[in-house]
Amino acid sequence: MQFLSDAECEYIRNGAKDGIRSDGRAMLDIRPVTLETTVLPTASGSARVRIGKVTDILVGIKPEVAEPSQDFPDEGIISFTVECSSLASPDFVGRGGADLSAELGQLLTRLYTSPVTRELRRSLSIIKGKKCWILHIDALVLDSGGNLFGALSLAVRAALRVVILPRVIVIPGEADDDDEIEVDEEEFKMLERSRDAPIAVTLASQGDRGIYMADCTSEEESCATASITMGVSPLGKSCGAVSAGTGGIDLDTLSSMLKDAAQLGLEILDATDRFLKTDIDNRMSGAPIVPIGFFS
Amino acid sequence: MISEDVYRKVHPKEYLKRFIDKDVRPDGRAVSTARYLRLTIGSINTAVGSALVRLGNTTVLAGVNATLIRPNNANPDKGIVEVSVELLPTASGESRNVRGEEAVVLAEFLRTLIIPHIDVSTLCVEADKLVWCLSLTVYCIDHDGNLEDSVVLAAVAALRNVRLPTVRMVDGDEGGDIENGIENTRMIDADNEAEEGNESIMAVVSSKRTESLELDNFPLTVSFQLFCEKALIDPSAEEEVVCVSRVTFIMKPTGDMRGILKEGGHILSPKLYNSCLAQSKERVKEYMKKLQAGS
Amino acid sequence: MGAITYGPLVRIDGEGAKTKERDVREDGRRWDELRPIYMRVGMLSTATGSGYFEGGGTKIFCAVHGPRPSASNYTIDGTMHCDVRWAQFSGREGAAGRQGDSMSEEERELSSSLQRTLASAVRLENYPKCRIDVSAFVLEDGGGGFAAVTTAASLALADAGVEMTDIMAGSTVAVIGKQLVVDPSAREEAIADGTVRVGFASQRAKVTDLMQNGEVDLEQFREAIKVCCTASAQVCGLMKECLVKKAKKWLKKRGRSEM
Repeated sequence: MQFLSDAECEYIRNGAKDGIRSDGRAMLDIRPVTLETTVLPTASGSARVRIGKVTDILVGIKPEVAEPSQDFPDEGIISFTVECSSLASPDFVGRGGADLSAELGQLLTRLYTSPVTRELRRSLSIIKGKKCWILHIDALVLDSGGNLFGALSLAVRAALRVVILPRVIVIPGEADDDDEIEVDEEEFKMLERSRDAPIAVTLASQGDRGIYMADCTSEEESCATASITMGVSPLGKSCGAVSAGTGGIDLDTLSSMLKDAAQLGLEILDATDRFLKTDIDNRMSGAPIVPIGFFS
Repeated sequence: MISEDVYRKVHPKEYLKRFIDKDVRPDGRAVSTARYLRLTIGSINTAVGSALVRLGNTTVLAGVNATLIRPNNANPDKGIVEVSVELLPTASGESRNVRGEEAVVLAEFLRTLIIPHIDVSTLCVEADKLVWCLSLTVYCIDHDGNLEDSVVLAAVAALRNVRLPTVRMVDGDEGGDIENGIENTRMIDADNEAEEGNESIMAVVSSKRTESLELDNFPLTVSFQLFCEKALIDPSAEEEVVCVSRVTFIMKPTGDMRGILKEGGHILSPKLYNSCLAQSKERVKEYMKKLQAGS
Repeated sequence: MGAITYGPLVRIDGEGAKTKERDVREDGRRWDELRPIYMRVGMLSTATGSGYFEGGGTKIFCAVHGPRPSASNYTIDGTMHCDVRWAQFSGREGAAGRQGDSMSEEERELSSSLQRTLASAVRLENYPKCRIDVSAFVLEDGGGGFAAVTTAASLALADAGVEMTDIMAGSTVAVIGKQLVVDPSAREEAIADGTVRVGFASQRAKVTDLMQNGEVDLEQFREAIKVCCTASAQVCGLMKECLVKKAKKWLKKRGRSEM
């Protein structure tokens, strides 16, 4: 969280009133996004997202065979650990980082426990009530320059799109309960239904009626009075929303914010899916992946 | 000349003494008058038994949760009763755990009093397989003195209010048929670490709660604070802070005495003892009237 | 200290036609009908101010301690600390933290959510170096527990005489299929596809807190927020009435003692 002087806040706020932002974007424009997949050779699926050359997030997925929960015997489990590296920003040192990590983790959990992703979780089931995949998704915030929710959900989704799981063979036992499984280390498959995964869109308001912006920089975030983060599914449904900030938003503004958030969410989903298609095709055909950027 | 409020804060002991010397207490009660008791039984629908006690301003809520579990190996035919007491931040304004010690002491006091009077073998559904685990939690919502008596009374009232559903063990195949009926079935979590292996237990739990708990000879307590050769029944928080000596009479529902607890250095003379005992007997009658009216 | 009962039912007139599919709910209410509400202020002796809220099966105590000097660092604005807990037997499994332990994740999240809502109206700049502690305790959660916590906390703050620019109420709407239901019971909450919870400041007509769980269509979501606000505004009206009655009683009592 950066502290801005009143004059700086006034500058951003007045700009927003005229529909101008300090980096020249329109209100609902997002910064250039860099998306790489399969960046970690040791993870089953991974992705790195950078927004505006500042916000930087790395996500890795590690699958494991476990027992499903009692309440949802036919569903797999997706668990999240978010860590805000104290190297990234002095704000992440100590409690500030822990609180933010918890908040980010909670949002992801909310998105991935909603009915929107039920089919995705079902595809992780191996034997109903006995065995399922548990996906440990570890996210690392390497640098923070605003819009963490958006970047994080985008990185998690991209990693889920490219994750590969070993094929599992169910060996029928003598009795119903004696089925055993064997993990085939040679053959891998992509995750079905990973298209269903939602992303989160944050819109922030500076307190003026009807004025709000998408993909805020950290300067813009620190003078926002209220913001709404909404999970958007590929069908345009809302699957978990939270508010932040103490300013409050009037009803008309909120209503149009939600509409724009859903619209923007669908656009981002569409753009990333088009972009990821090549990556996914490569993975399906087994072509070697040439690392770029960070780890090349 | 200092005002009354300042005097009360600066010299709390002197302040109280001036009142007690005239045989009246700061809140207008006589030395031997207890505060008005309100008892609401069974107001929490989500608990199997509950009671809210308001003793003057002191507010205490007791509730019982019931779960079906596998008994532990040492006592395969006995149910389990857990007792805990919590002082909520609504009462003190401090964030949680600051007054943890006081709550622990109260919980231990309550546990030793209550547990021996519950027949845990009646909580057994089937030996070695399934027993009830009752967890009694007492929350202190507002603390204006004499938590001991309120906590014990609330716990007794809540336990007397407990109504458990009837449970019947069934085979695995039978369970599915009943599921569609009126009765509601529940798969009981089979503990795979048990030696018999991982057999699962099915039991039918009725939707109506009818079975009450055997709790006949329960304890009730009446506390006094000793101050200036006088015993103040049902002390308020203000009086508790000043006085260090406390006497608690543990009574039977019939009005007979079961035991006595005394802390602090003041002497309890035989004369005072007799008058306290007489007052306790009267107070227990009052408790019983409220308990019977509520249930 | 007065007990004020409202009732029997608070009706909310909204555009019923849009979502009206079934006419009557399980408990006999219309889709847009709140459960009977009972509110009371000032019944806890040790707190500066307190509020009690009961609606349907939901019962909540809330206490405000302070403003009082802050023990920690010097702050220009006052600070507010919120603590929300569920009783072990409140009927919400998982929400209550283990006994004596630290708070559960849900309690932690709701505490910070409550803090946000309240901080939007409390004039913290008037309480330098002070802290205000708000602690809420849910005795029983028969649905809409958190929304009711917001209401009870606002009542308690007002009762404590803390300066506020507005009064807040919370309300919940559940989406079951295509149907919106206001103030859902615990059962309705359990079968709902999604729930929307709103904290609403009535005077400024602003949404101070928004939370959505599960899956909701965009149109339903926007409609649900509107319905929530209407419901909250009704609750705010009752809260004001309750506070005015209490104040009148207090004035009357003071008048008598001065005479």
